[in-house]
Amino acid sequence: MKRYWDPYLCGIAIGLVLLGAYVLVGRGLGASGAFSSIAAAGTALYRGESSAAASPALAPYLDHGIASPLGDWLVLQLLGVVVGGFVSALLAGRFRRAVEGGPTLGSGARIATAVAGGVLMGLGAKLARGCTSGQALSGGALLAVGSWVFIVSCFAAAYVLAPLARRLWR
Amino acid sequence: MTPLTSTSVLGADAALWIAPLLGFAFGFLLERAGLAHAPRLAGQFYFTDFTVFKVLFTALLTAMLGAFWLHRVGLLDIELIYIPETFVLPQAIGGALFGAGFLLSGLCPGTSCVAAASGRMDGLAVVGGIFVGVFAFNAAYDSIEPIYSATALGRITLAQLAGVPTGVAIAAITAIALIGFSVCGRLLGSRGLPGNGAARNRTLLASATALALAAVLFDSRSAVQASTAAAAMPAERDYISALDLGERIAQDDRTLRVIDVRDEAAYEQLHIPGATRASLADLATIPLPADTTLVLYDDDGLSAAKGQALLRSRVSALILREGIYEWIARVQEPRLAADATAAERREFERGAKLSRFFGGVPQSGVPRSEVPGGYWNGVASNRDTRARLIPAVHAPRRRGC
Repeated sequence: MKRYWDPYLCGIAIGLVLLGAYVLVGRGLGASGAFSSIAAAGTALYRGESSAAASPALAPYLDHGIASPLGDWLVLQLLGVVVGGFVSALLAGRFRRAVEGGPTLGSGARIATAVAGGVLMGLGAKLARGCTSGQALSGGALLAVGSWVFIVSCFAAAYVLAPLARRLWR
Repeated sequence: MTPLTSTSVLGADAALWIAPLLGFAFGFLLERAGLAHAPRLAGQFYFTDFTVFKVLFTALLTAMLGAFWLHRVGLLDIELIYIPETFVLPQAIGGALFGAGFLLSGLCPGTSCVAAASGRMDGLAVVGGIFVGVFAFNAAYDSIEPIYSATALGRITLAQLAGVPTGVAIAAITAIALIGFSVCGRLLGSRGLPGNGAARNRTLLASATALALAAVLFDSRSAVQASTAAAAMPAERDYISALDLGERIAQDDRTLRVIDVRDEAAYEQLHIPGATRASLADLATIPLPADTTLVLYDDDGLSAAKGQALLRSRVSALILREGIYEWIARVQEPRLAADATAAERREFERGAKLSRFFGGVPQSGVPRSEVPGGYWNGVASNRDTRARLIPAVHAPRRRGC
């Protein structure tokens, strides 16, 4: 198993990838928006296209081909993230089927907290119009006020609540 | 000049090919930094591991300084990049919910995908949870909507909010991040954990400092903006009048597509019936059939002219010269002066017919000083006269199209 790369160098490299996205396509990187597109396409398949497109919550995500989220920029980008993560883990000998969590937490409990955390992040990212990638990183680098509101609020909440969640991670 | 998609060097199809390539690099680097491991990410909340901070803020500084300097040397037009809109309340609440979820799951949406791709079942569980959260939000959208669209400030940057040049805001953020990195290093060092150490890192951080300081010294965005605005000057035939536009909408002209290029808050307050909203950045990727007449409008015609120039190679778009203001002044709420000329009366009659159709209230016999001015009657409007007229008008009661 290889060592991790230096976080500062990784950060600079990710910053250059983000800069590349600005220069090539005029937008930043993201993740939660792709979840929204896939969810909207799923709803459209299940409930019918016109019914889904009439919902103001879904309509903005159904622009790029109702039945095919593969026409969506962010979905394709997130597919790239998955493949990139997989290739890197494989090459570094870190690909391993496992449940990772705090030292005293059982696997079942860990999966439950992971799902619960995911639900909160899904809601939070929808409400904030982006997550750590699209809002904090991509918007923060462009000095968007809302992105910085998100960054401060996100880390403040996590640090305030951290002592209560100590059993999960310590 | 970039972004390449907006300047039509790259088409929308090419952008779709670039997406997975950029994503691949992003995912690869997140995994290399060790961000596929939830305990490692959670360590930041207990002051034992600052990988998230270091990666996030180094990446942010790199992209921020890079975008600023590319813009400064005239290679990148920042106005064409999609800048997220600000909604203070939902972003504060959403941020707090997200932070709580980040603490519980130890991963964020992007890193959960990388974790799942490295075989971590907890990562896959987070991915599933996010979908549940998104579906829950969509299901409850009607009751969440008042909060979701509250406190809209539009596309606003920290520099605009603070009233300082962009270079100053950039230098301040760089300084705060560098102090943060140094504090992280000391915290880790004091606990006997490996800190920032390497001299190479200090060199990199020093270069960030230098770039940020230079940004303050050299900041003159106005020069660059003036040059791009000049390149976008439209010709006389690129305009459509509000009356012609209104008549086409009233006749239910299906070949017409009206796009509002203002921000979401302005659009929500009032837009031309049937208009859809798109940012200048979005224009590059929206599908435009060849037989449509595209009409762009904004507050004063400047962004619309820019959008028209960007689309020039794909489709010829028309501009509503004085934007939403012209629409209100001539179609939505036309006014006729008590001492009107015959020509003014004809113009008013055309407008009044449309006004009634769209649910407005035309007024005749008003004092001449209360008739809004514009290029159409030879009375120049300015920022103040526009600002007075627009908030006075509410969304039309009846919609065309």
